Amino acid sequence: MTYLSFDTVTKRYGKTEVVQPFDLDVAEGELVAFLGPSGCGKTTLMRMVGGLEAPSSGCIMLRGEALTRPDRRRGMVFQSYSAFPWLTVAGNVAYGMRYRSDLSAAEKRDQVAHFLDLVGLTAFADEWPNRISGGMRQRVAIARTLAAGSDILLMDEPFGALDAQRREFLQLELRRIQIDEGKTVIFVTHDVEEAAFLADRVIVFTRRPARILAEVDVTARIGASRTLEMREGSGFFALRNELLHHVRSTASQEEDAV
Amino acid sequence: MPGQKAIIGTASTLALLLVWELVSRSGMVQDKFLPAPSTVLYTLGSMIYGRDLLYHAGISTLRVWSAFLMAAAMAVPIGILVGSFRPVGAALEPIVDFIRYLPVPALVPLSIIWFGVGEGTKIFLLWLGTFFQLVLLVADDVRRVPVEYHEAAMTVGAPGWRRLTDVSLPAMLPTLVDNMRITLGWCWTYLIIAEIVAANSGLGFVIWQARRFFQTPEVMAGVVTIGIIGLATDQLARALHRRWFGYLTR
Amino acid sequence: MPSRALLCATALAALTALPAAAQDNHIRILAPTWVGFAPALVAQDLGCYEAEGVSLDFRFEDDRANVMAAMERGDIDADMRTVGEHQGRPRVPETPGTIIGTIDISVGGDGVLVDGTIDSVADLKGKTIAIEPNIPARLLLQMELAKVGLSINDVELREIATADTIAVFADSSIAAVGTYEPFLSQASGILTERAPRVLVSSRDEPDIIVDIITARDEALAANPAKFESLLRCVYRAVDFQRENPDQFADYAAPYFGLTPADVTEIVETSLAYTTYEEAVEFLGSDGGTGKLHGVFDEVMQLNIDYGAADTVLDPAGEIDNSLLTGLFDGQDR
Repeated sequence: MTYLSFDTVTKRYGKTEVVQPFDLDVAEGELVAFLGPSGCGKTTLMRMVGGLEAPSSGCIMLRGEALTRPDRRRGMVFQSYSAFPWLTVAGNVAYGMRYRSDLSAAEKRDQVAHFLDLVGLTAFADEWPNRISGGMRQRVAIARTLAAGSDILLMDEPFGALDAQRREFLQLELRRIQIDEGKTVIFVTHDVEEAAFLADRVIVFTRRPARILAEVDVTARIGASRTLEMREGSGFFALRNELLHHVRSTASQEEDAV
Repeated sequence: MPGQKAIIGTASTLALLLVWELVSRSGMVQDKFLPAPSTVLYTLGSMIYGRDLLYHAGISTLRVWSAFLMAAAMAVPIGILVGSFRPVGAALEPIVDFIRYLPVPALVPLSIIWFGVGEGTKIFLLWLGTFFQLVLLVADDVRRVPVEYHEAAMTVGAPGWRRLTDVSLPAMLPTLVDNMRITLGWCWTYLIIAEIVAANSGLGFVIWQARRFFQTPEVMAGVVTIGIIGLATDQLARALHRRWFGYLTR
Repeated sequence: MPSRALLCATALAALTALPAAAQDNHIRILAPTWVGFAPALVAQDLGCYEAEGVSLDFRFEDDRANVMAAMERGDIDADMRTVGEHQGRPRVPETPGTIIGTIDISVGGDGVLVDGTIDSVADLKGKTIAIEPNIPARLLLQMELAKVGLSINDVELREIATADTIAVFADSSIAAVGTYEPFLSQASGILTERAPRVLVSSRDEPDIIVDIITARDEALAANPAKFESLLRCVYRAVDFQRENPDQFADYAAPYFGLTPADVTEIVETSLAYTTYEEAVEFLGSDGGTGKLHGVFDEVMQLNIDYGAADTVLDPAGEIDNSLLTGLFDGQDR
């Protein structure tokens, strides 16, 4: 059985069609990047996985069970407002476990320490989110989602507001955590480099209404492990150019529309 | 630097007082209308002994705080409901919006019919000036809580109603406290209206009685007393805000 | 915090319950902030209420609408006001409030101040006059206008709050201002550049502006004795004022936030307290009529003309002299 599947999912807001009939299967432990122009409907698709929005028709299934409402299995990391400012870094991570009855208080404490360590924030456990960098805040959100025991991480341009250096660092870290913890990730971005560097598979979207323009299996081309050196390699370069080409075609499509 | 801020604040206040003193003394404005600050200060002092000014100030403060706390205790939950649940908002907001524009003084006889000439009417009038404004402010505060916070809570498994306590309340608390500080100030401005109804105590009564007999320095002294209480309350509220919500500063 | 607010609400409820728990020997009065009503307060210092076995709750309320609301609700037992204001809209014969006595008359306390350009009442024609509706000076103005064949419609009226008299009169577009003390003398003293002069004064018509004591009918029927006590105490205080004006001023001053000298000055320049005998002269006795009945009719007509009242009231239905009749029989003066 497929792990996560989109079965002829559509979405429209009133008369506006946002997602055209969409089919996709995602394997467990896979990192799929949704790449496309802003406002194309890729975020809507991801939010439907989270149960934050309902499809207009079709359904999204996790192990054959239709997803209708949000729950702990699918955690979300947002582009902004990702950490609660009124909780400390450790408090934010602990909040992820607040509604878990499978852990004792002591276990929860251990888990907080574990996830803080995993995202490299142990030294900032007692700090307020507003007093750490944006990248650190995103790591807090990731740790909170992991602490919730989510099997699937839904990330909406989580590194969008960061500078290049921090971004690269977090991308590596996310990839490491994803592999170590065996998480399935859907990662929404409009950055070609980011998609190519992070994902096992990249889905390139057309402009709205969203439709799959191309699908690129990155892992088949450059392997599952990613390092900074790879970014300068010719394989990555070709991959990036291919994705860029697809993205450009959506842009020219836009020109045609005008 | 907080020290520098205090120095500037004090200096500008003193400068204003100096200008006021000079204007009054120069005779540009009849001192019957604008007594010099030194006169007002002297009157203030003598009123503390001769006219139980502190007692009246205490009564007024008690009234304002009683009405304000009642208004807040009602407005905060109602405002949260209005802001969180669309049907509640649709049902209540037009009513609240309408009532908040009604001139409070016009409602005095009606409130006497309802609450008599005792404390009830005075508290009601103060409440009236605060409650409806606060409901709308609270509703807006709730609506301004970023939807991402709610969605983050949902995806860690928080049930719908727990999001009120987990997310809405803590996220809105800093602006809520700020809005309460501001509405408390509004509550004080209704004091005169409330305390001239069947009056026998309070700063509003003292001011109104002095006005009745054209005792301008006494009127000003009463007004200054309210101002001082307001300034002190506001500074205290700001200090508490900084202390409670220190996590907001970067 | 909700629990603290709740606690506060409960404490307040207790506070609010106080006036409602008034016993029958308790006399609750609302009256405007006017020194004319001082005898009712000074009687307290003289220990009169205590001796009569009653207690007094006296509060100031300038707004007549509020007093009427309180009467309607049964929150007060008596109020004090001029006979002219008593008649104003929305009073109809059924409205609670029966005149049971007088307390003072205005002697110079109310009047119309004019600037140097006005020599006589006739000059007021077409001029702008600032006045608060329903104050005694308006009645005086109406009477004087009528004497020279004019009516209130022949002048431009501007509504003001009387406490703003001086500021308003500083504006030279205002030819006259109707007001009362202390604004009357203050305005004359301060705005000398306008050559102000008191054109119309209650000194010239001393019986028109009469402050009356009004009882709520239901309370009166239930316990006339406590109103008799109130009247006796008022007239004892008036007697005391006649004999010891300085000490009276000492007692009265704190209630009004004034100095004793202020009180004495206001009393001397503006008003006269009515003794028991004068009150009987006004109200009549044994169900008969007195001077007030005539004043009542005259003022009633002025109020109707001005539009301040729309129901003609019968003095016989509004005035009850039974309490005054034999008030001090078998009692100390």
